[in-house]
Amino acid sequence: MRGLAVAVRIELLKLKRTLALATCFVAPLVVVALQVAIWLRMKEGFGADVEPWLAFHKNALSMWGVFMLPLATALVVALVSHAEHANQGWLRLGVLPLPRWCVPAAKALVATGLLLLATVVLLLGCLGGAVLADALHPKIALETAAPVATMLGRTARVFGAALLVLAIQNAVSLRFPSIVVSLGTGVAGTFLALFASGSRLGPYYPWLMPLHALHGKEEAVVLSVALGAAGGLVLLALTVALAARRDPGLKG
Amino acid sequence: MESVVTTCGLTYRYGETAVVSGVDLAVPRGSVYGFVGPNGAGKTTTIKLLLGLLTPSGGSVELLGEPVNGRRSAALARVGALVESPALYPHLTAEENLRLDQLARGVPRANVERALAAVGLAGEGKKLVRRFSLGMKQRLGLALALLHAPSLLVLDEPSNGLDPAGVRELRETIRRLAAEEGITVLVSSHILAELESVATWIGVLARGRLRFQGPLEELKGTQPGVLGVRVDDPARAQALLRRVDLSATLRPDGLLAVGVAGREGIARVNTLLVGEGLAVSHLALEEASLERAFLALVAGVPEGAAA
Repeated sequence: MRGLAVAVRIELLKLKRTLALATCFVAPLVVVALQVAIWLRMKEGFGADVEPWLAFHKNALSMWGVFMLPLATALVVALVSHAEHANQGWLRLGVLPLPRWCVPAAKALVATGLLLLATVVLLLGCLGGAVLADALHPKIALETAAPVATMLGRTARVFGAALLVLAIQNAVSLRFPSIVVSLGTGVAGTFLALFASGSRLGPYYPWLMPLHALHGKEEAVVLSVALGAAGGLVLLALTVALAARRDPGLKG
Repeated sequence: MESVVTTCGLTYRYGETAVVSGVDLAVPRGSVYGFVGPNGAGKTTTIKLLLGLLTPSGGSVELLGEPVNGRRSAALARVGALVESPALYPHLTAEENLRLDQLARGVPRANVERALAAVGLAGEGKKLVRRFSLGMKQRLGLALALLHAPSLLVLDEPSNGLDPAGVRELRETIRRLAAEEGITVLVSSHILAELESVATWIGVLARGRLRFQGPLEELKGTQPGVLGVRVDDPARAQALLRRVDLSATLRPDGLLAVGVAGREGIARVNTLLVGEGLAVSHLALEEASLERAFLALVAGVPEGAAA
């Protein structure tokens, strides 16, 4: 496991000054900013049956799960792999005395870590954004403490369900040197989700799983989280195994 | 003589095409092994096979006594390599680039500064690599290869992109590493003159097959020496020499280039010409060049000979 720890450390060092790292902050904060803007345009306050904290968080999490999360995942994962595709990095990593599987495994772990970071930023951003909206809008009143446990649970569900999309993006970006293929997959997956959402098979569509994990009935929630998380982990492991078998000296 | 790189019947096929075929390399410890071949000969593929970047279709590779396909990490632990162009992360500084390999190789952090100094980049460590010139990138690539004080250095076309001063500097570095630090260097190039002045052993690869392997002098010895002769009547001298089965070509500078073997051959030419009353004003043996020997080896190799 020393090899894996070293490979992860190397991947983390490589994130310095990268767009991948910046995306993990910018993407969730854009969603939060948008949600603050929506609140500031409200003419009326909330009804008695609405918990403002949860409303803010759920709306932001919906936007995140449907659009920003899959697109940010596509970009972040593509950039993590592209660092090697663009700079002959596979050759450089290939001559290091590390077990071959450690490199793709480290990339998968770091990509997952980045997605987790973005999700945490979203959660913290929601707390800050709600407070900001409360301060700026006279009709918004946050009278209770934030229900952090509920917010955390919802966030975890969305994150778990998103792992399959992450794994798909990871497989595509490791295999194809062109960043266009990776981003194209992300955009196409997100776009097709609009059509798949009305379908009976919607809960099985990877790009809709985060949404179902948040808004679905209990069964759909369990299904989305279980399929997304388990499917994602299996696909990540499979991708690592296949990538480790591929010679780093092969072109294309 | 102990070999630090040994391959046995090394073969690599890409589909039906054999890119490398039955190569038996033996790189002696402490040598500067010049790996020469025309473009497309299979040099880079061979080097990738040596470093475990490609899996051979047949044959075996041993680096420093360790089988690359069995104990890859152990085999690569004491090897430094620069394959194709240097693989650098442009958004990181030179120091940060070296730090990645320093972590992977588990060597002290002080090696980073030492490696930068060894390639003349001592003051450039904090600079982003994207701001480096091509020559600086090439030197940083060499620093990466030297970071862990390897016993074997494998350099694939390291002078690509270097200006003449850079090429000379690289030659000096290779010479110094071999002479002072006892590092065995395997360096590939298609620039023959570059290797002639630095290599002690030569391997010639053409169309995926090893055509020659041995000391530089032995390669040169495969070609007859050329004797430059100036006489008062070159046409008559040429006729006389051809009569005794010696090839003689008149060069534009007025010298006759005569193919001879050994001291006896030189004396024979001199005796013949003077004995026939010709005035010989210049008689000098021109050393056989690596280029001539190389061209003789690779010339006439038929297309697809490796298959």
